[in-house]
Amino acid sequence: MFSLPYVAQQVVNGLTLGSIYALVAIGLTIVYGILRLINFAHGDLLMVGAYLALALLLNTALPLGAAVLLPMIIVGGVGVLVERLAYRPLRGAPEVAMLITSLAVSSVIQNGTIMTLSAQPRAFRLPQDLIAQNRVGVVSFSTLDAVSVAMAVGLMALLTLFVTRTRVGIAMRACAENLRAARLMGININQVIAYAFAIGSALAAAAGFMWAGRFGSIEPFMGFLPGLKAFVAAVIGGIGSIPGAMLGGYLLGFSEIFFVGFLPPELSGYRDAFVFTLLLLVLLVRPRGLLSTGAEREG
Amino acid sequence: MLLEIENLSVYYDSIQALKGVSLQVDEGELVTIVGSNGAGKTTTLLTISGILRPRRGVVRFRGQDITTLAPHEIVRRGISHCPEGRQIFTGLTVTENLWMGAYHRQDREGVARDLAWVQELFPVLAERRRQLAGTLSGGEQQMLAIARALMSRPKMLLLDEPSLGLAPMLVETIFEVIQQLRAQGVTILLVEQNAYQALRVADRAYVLETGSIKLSGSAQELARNEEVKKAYLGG
Amino acid sequence: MNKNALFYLALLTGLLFLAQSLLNDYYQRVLAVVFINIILTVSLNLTNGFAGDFSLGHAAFMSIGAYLSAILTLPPASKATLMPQLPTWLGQLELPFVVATILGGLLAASVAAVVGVPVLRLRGHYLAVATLGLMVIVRVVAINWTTITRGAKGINGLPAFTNLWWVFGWAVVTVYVIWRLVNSPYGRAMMAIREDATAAAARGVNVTAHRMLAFCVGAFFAGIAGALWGHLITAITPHSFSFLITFNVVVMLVVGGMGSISGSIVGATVMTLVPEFLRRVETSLSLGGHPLYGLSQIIIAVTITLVMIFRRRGLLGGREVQLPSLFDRRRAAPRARIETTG
Repeated sequence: MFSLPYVAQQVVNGLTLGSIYALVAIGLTIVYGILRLINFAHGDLLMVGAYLALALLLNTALPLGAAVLLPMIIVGGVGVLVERLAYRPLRGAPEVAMLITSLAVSSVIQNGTIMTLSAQPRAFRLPQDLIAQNRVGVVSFSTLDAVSVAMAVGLMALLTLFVTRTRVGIAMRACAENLRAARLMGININQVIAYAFAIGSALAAAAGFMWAGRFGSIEPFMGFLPGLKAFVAAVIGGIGSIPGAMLGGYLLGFSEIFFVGFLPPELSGYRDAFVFTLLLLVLLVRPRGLLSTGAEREG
Repeated sequence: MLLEIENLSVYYDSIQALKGVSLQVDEGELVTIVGSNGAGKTTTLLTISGILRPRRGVVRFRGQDITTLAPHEIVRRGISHCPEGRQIFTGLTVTENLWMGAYHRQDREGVARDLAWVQELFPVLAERRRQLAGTLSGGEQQMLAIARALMSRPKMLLLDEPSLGLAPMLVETIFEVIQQLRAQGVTILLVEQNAYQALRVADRAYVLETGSIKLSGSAQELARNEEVKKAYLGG
Repeated sequence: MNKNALFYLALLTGLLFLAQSLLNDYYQRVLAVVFINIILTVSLNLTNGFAGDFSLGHAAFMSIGAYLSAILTLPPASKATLMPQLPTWLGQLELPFVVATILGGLLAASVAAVVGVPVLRLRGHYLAVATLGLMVIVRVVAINWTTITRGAKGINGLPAFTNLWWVFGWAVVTVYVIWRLVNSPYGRAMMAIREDATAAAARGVNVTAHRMLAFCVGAFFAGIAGALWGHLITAITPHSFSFLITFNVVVMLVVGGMGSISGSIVGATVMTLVPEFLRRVETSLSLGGHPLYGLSQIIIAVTITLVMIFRRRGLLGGREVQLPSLFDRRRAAPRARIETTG
């Protein structure tokens, strides 16, 4: 059967991939929770984050932390801007109008990147010490893996504090539950929505760095698949629920890695098909996800 | 006049829900709007709160036009709306719900004082402060909804069907609280299907029928009016 | 069909003869693409405009239709060299184009039926994600099932069966079938579901069955369009039918106005010709020696955002265009007026 180091390796891979999915899924779930918008442009912000990180790594002598943090701040701002320009004029419009607009925003971001930087994939090279392999007992992992997981867990802990301890954070949960009541309480929903986009987009940028580091190359369409898979993760966890997005992200990361790692190698080409088949199965068995919220009560 | 509504017309797409409604509420008054289901009572309140936009007409609060303000601006000016069907945040704790009522306020001490005040009004909320609001009983949820609306320290409280779906004993409690609030100087606009109770506590009343004001006058007068008796007080 | 419809059909047929004799190859090809896009847009309208679900699965269904029809129309001799591992019965099969096209549509519809079971029980927007997921699944299968699909290399050398007459004929069939469906009790039930699913269910409408019908019929015609497209371009790969195609069909639908068949025809025509023109401009444009690839897609996307903000119901606002009536003395009976939501 499988050796222990091999199994441990798969667990590490699942943890890293799961961290990425969880971070992207959080952004999707908080925006969906409030606006009922499936934001198809979310994955493209991951791509923008990766490009910005690469630009900083190549052209500046900034420390690595800054190459992660600065893109998060910038992309957070881009998210707010997109919301302001494209989604806010549609407040109160049918959900389908926002959905179509998000497809259009996605197309603008992708083609804008192609126009300014070309469609050619670029190598995403990290400093040597990040790629270095470490070994603890039977487990071997790169420093990037460790940094990714630690960063994701840290960010999620911060987010949890934010939504349980701060005024705006609690308001965000209130808005997700009942937008009209939130407005009647004097909550400025535009402000809360801007926070949701800023946070979600910043997390996507962080995930973009991890994704690019993991796969070693970036291109303008790279955000499509992780964005879509993160939505699957959010649905598995129960869309609208932040803990659900985290849980769904890790569940999806582990299942995808285990599918490739423990099933016959002929099947590994089907990993993306497996993810969406999983979505269909979850929808069939538990349509509201594992930790469902009130978000889908309209049925 | 604290609140003046002039000639308000509101539409849902092409259906007219309010047809030129005018009404006034003076400082310190308790005014009630009675009427049957679908008469436009909730629509009136939602338009005052800025959730619905009128096609014609003006809403003035303390002499200022607030017709086009965003809901949160209206709350800031001193109107608080306790919506129909309670609409508390079931996934938030009782205290978190109350904080949301005070969302725009910066004065921490004032908020703490008002938290103590509403917990005095509704002692059960103090007992349950860490519980998720969704675990409260129907009556407790209604109390929480009123308390949450009070947390913004409103000059005027809009109450939409506070007694709906409650056991008779609880209805009594809720109306006692309403009278208590009035005694403390809160101006109240109360929408009720329970016309008997509403007319008993109110100073003045309006009767709303299919989007227009049919009758208005002092609550005592209307309670004696034959038409009102027949339509809303069960003969 | 009434006299009016027959007259316009005859007129179009005449124009098509003219087009065939006057236009060069390039313009004939563009015209064929216009008709394929009409098939795609009108059929997407059934799900997205009339039934109120939002499917993004057209690329997947096109792909299914294109692959199956390609395998069925390729001469056994080419199949022997291109796909030597094909099961013998399939390797020796060579079906007429029309049969292969219909089978491609049927397979797409069957796949839609299977996917529809879990997804259509939920609110319409899950369909958007699930159908995009389907696109990924179809692509992955096309890449990995090499014995049938030749994998990432794709299938080339398809017989160039598709001509103006085929695409025109199928466009007429699509419009006719969907027009009849929309104006039947089924169509009215679909629209009732779109407006208020709960109320429709309360009145005894089988909500899931009607949404399923719309989804499967839409998929059928997408499969047909895929088959026509494959035999026009004569080569297909797993990446031929990408998200971009789906997005562009959505754009055509939205520009024309969801819930209007004539709107879909107008939308498909305009949004095929304009980008084609833009693309030709784009290749000649540059900014300080920097080519502006992607500009046309950006213009399309910005347009669609503006349409959503300022003219949400599209060019035709969800209404149908009435062609002037030539034979009836009275004004033509009003067709079912179709309102879009919001």
